[in-house]
Amino acid sequence: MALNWSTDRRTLLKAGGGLFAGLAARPQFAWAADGDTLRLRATADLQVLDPKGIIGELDDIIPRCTQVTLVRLGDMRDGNQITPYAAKTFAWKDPKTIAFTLHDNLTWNNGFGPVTAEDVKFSFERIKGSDSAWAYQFEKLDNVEVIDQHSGLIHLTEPFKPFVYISLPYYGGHIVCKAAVEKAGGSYTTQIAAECGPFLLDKWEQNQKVTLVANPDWKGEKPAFSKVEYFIVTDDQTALLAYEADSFDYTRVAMSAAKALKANLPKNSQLIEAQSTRYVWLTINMNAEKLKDPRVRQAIQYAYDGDAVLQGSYDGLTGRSAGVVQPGTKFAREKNKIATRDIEKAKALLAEAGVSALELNLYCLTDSVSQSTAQIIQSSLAEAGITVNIQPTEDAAYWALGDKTQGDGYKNIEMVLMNFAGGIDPSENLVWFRPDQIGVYNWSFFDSKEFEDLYQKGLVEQDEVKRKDIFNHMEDLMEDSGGFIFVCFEPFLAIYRSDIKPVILADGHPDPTQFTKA
Amino acid sequence: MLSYAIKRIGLALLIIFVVMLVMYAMVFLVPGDPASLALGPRATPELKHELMVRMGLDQPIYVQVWNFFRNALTGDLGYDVWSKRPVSEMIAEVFPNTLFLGAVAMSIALVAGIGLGCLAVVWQGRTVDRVLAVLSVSMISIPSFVVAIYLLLVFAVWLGWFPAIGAGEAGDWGSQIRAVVLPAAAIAITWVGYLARLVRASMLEVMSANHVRTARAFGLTQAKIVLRYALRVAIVPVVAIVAVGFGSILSSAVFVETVFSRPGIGTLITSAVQKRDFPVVMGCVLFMTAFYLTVVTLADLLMAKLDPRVRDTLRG
Repeated sequence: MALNWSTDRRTLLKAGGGLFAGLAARPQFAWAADGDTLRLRATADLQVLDPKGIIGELDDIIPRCTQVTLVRLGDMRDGNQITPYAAKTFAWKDPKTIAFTLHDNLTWNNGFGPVTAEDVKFSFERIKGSDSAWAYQFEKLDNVEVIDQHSGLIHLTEPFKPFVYISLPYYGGHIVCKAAVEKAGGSYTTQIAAECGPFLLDKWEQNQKVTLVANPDWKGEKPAFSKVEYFIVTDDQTALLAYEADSFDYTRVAMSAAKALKANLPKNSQLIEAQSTRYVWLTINMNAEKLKDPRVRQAIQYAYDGDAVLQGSYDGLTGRSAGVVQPGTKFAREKNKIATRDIEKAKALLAEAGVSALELNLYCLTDSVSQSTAQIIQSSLAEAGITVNIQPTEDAAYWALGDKTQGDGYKNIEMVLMNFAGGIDPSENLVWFRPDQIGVYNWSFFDSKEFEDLYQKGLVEQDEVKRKDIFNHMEDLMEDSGGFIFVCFEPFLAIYRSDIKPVILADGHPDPTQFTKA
Repeated sequence: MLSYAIKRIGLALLIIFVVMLVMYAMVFLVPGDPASLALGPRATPELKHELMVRMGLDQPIYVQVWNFFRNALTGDLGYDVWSKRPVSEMIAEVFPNTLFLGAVAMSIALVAGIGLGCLAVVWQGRTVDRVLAVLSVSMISIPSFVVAIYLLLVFAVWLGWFPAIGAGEAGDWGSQIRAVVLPAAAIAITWVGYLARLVRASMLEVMSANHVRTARAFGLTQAKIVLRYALRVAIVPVVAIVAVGFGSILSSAVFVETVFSRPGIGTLITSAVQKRDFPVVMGCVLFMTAFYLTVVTLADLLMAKLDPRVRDTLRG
């Protein structure tokens, strides 16, 4: 039984021709933007825009556009150079005092008048000692003294040179309008109390898009784009496809995509390959029964195959780290004490400790890089006779592993593959291994008074050579303890259109105010 | 009929209650406290505590459950812990997108599924029928998020016909329709296969009925018999499963909205889960459960009204 449809050659040709013409026309419905709009991708929606409560990526990026900071950072690939921004003048008066004068043409919108030194005082002092996650950045702040409408002095409790890097250029360093914030009840979340930066937050389409438009009252250096659109795309694979479909001009990409992108880069695109501030290490808990003998911990350090991890998990895109201070920076340690693998030495150390058939649990997150790293560690330790049981652990359970508020489990975890987002100053990365962090983020049970003393010394030391010695010695202590194997600093990968020039800050977030047209 | 309706509504309310209890249990069964997870490594204990209070997680579980249901009955689903916006307002903002997506997906599924089912009957036992059988089973077995990725690749990246992400510009119907095509097709594809098989089976039964034989004896064309006489009867089981299907389509939207970065209830839930924003997760789950059960219950009541045998099923 067939349908009684009939057609002739002419109709068939007509239909075929129409279809072909349709295909050939290929209307480009994807959101092509005009040359004055910068289209970027964010991985998650905004949460809290008040600098006191910043949480995610967009929470940090939007205030960079709508507020100002006294100083600002340059691209991480150019060494994170600090330059004055809202401050017309900015200088250390003495090791505990910074003098600043604001540009006198900065004004708040919504009729809140000029940006003043009083606003700077309010912005910093409200975070110091508060319940803000960024309060630690202002630990060394004593107070801000207002000299006149645009000038002031920042007084520190003791000499602390990294204050300029740690506290001022981002997060809590964004200046808010005192009058507007007080009017809003002391804090705000998604409705910015008052804006003064080069852009104004124009539109927030929840979980879809954030639009920023040029601030007509901005008298500073004009940004290269008059509109910035942030598209929220959580999935990396989708983001790359959306980039290829011309939905945006810049996106971070997953490490797994690096090889394919290098082999076949989309048209008119450039790939950024850089080292991020995110550091990875293997925690070896020296409090765990099986790991109490330092020779056993050292055997693990000798059996670890660093090269295999770098090739297998990171495609050779990054090198081995020698600590938690970013390699290539002025404070970085040159190399690990145990820099090369020695299986025989590992076996000898285990024999000397009288340990045989050692079986250990290794916890890691469930992402593919963590899993493959754990598998390589498992196989490299197996060569020394150590059996490793990999325990892939979901986010929630993972972060409870070493948390003392979750019971006594933190005392007995054996090995954990960890990574943290780091800062620019070494103190920001070393802080998590102080004795008071045991049961918080120091999961190795590394309890060194010498380390703590050095940490305090490093905070106030002004001489950079001496600071380097201090930080390097702290990393020596970490390695000597047998509680750590430094893996690497993760590579940073992003793709962008050739007609723009992105600026990426140390935290891996782009700064739209500094993007230019190529 | 009244007792049947009461039983159905009672059952729906019980399901809602159980779903919410399970949701609460999950919050407590997951190791680690939600505040630490949401705030990250640099949060102070004071901030973590404040967030726990804001989420209401410092209260005993029975108090939380009681508060939640008491407030929900008055339409208060709580507040987003980050933006402090009412959850009901957030849902009202994005749900039309999901509903639109679901409606378009269902329309595609109905038109394509019924069409393919009819073609299979017309060419029963021939190559077309066999090809359609394989195609239908394939469509049923491919998960929608896999289809979504391929649709994106072909139609957004290679051909550039449709946007890769988003829901289109507000107020611009053209852009909104273009933006819904790929996600709706991704969701619909499973149902196209399923409906095609269902229509084929139902149609074959009808094709041997007396009124179809009579129509054939009168010399009507096959197309006219299928479309005018057989389909009208064969489509009844399809109508019966549309309500259930709509619920299933809405749940697929959770994945597809994420892939296409489309604002909707799915994206809202996913983002709330990532941020450990429990009031939003709870509110959305309660809303979706209630919506789904309302649709299914109404469909059941309608069926029971039309067919007394259905009422007997609940009576046992």
